[in-house]
Amino acid sequence: MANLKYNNDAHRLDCIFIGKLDTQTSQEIQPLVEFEIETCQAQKPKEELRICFDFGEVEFITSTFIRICVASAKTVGKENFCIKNTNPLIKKTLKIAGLDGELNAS
Amino acid sequence: MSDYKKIADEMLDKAILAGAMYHQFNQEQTDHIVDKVFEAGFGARVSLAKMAAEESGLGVWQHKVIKNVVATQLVYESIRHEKTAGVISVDYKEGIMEIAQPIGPIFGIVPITNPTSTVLFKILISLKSRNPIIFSSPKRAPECCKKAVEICYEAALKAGAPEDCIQILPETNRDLTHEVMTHPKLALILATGGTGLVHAAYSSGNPALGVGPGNVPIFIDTSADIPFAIENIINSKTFDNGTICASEQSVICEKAIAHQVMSEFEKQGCYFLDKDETALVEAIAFDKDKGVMSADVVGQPVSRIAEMAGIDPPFGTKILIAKQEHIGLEYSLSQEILAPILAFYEAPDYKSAIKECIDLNYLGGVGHTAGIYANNEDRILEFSSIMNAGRIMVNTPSVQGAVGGMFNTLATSFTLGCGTGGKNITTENVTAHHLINVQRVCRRKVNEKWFNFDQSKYMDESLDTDEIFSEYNKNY
Repeated sequence: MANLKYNNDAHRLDCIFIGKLDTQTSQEIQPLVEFEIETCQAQKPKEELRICFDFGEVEFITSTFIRICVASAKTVGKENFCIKNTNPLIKKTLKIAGLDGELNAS
Repeated sequence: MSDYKKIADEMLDKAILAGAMYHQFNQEQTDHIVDKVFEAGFGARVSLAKMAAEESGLGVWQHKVIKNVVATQLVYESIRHEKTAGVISVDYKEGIMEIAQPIGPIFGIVPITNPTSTVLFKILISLKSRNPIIFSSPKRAPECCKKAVEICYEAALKAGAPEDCIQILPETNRDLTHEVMTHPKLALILATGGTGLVHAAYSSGNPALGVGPGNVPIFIDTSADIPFAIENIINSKTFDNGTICASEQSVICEKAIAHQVMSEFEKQGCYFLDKDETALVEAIAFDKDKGVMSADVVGQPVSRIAEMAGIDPPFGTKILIAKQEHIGLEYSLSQEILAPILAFYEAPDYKSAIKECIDLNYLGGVGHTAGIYANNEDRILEFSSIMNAGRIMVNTPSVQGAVGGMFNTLATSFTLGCGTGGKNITTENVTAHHLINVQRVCRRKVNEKWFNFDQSKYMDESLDTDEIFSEYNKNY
């Protein structure tokens, strides 16, 4: 459901998500993501951490997962957060929610 | 930023997010949610009805149970097989495929007369069309409305619906309602309520499906089965003490059968007021300063109305009937009164009777509902063609007929479109398919006549219509 990898050279956290991110799954993912962000930030406290969520294998999202995205973007700053590889349905979902720009979704 | 603006912004943001999530659901997932919400609403039909009757002080709780049943069971039956997500139709011959898209956040206004059934109905049609809905509860019955929302929302969440797909304003007041109605993120207002509120919805700048006021004339023709007609009128007009806007307001018949009609009304438990009693009832039933029915009599039983007016009809009287000679704004009882009070008109002949029906129909009820009791097809057709009403009920109780599902196959609805006469965009009974945007995917099916025609001929002013058409329609 989630594969989180920290790239030390780029000081970037790559999070690959898979499948249906329903409420329960999102609730399980949330502490993992929060912990990982905190850990990564501790590695280079003076540098700005970048976070990239990979939605290539994501089929469905819920508002709980959207909140994880929004919170992560807020933690590192909008310019340091992005979502890549969204499928068209997820892209439209973010568009309807008015968050595609906010979350730098592509 | 005002507090109300802030509340509206937050609620609309939540609704937008819920709508975005809901848009991912397919038909099967959507139907599962509707199934579960229907079961929850239907299961609460009695408790909600009792709560609504007690809190609002209007109507009859047993009738409100029936309203809740209509708003759940019959509405569910009328929409359950409807396609509202993804591809909803394919016409291979014409090359057109239709795809349903949800419209977005809906604002549902709930009237005091149906505070729980309207909520149940609007939730089912909104969820079926994958739209989030925000409710505004009536001022005098907020708790029952809130309870109905909570029951449905809980069931929706359990069935997997997105968070915040159903919300209710934390309080009912004009400013907050205005903020939501005019909010740029709102997609549609489902306005059921008084004329002022419906007008505000139409003036909001957002699309609205509203219900115009009714003033339902019922014509009893000489060909009618009179006892049957009277029985149906009584059952309809007394339902929930007359709170439904499709309820009968006036009965019109020819002089030739007037005596028989009056006797039958009396035989079946109605009471004809004399002149003095009519004046007393008129005084309490209509607010002449505001030009509308008095809120004090809405949904009250005859006994209470009689007490208020200071009259003494026989015990158990079902409807108070006032003989009237005139129709117009200055004649209060010729206008809509949502209580067991009927106006009665005796016309010298058929044509005069129909003309009186036209006057009543146009006195505040254009586009709503009209009814006829007759066994003469020509007269049914003539009456139907002359009335301006979205629904013409034939040998049918007006209330139960207009909402659909019991006496006919009209879509079951608590939002009855009144056409342009009622400042509505539709005369249909509003249901789930009014809450989707239908996209038409059009395959190439060329118009051969158009493409075979030498279009430079359109530029030649010397060619007249016949010459161009003859060339255009030429067979190749």
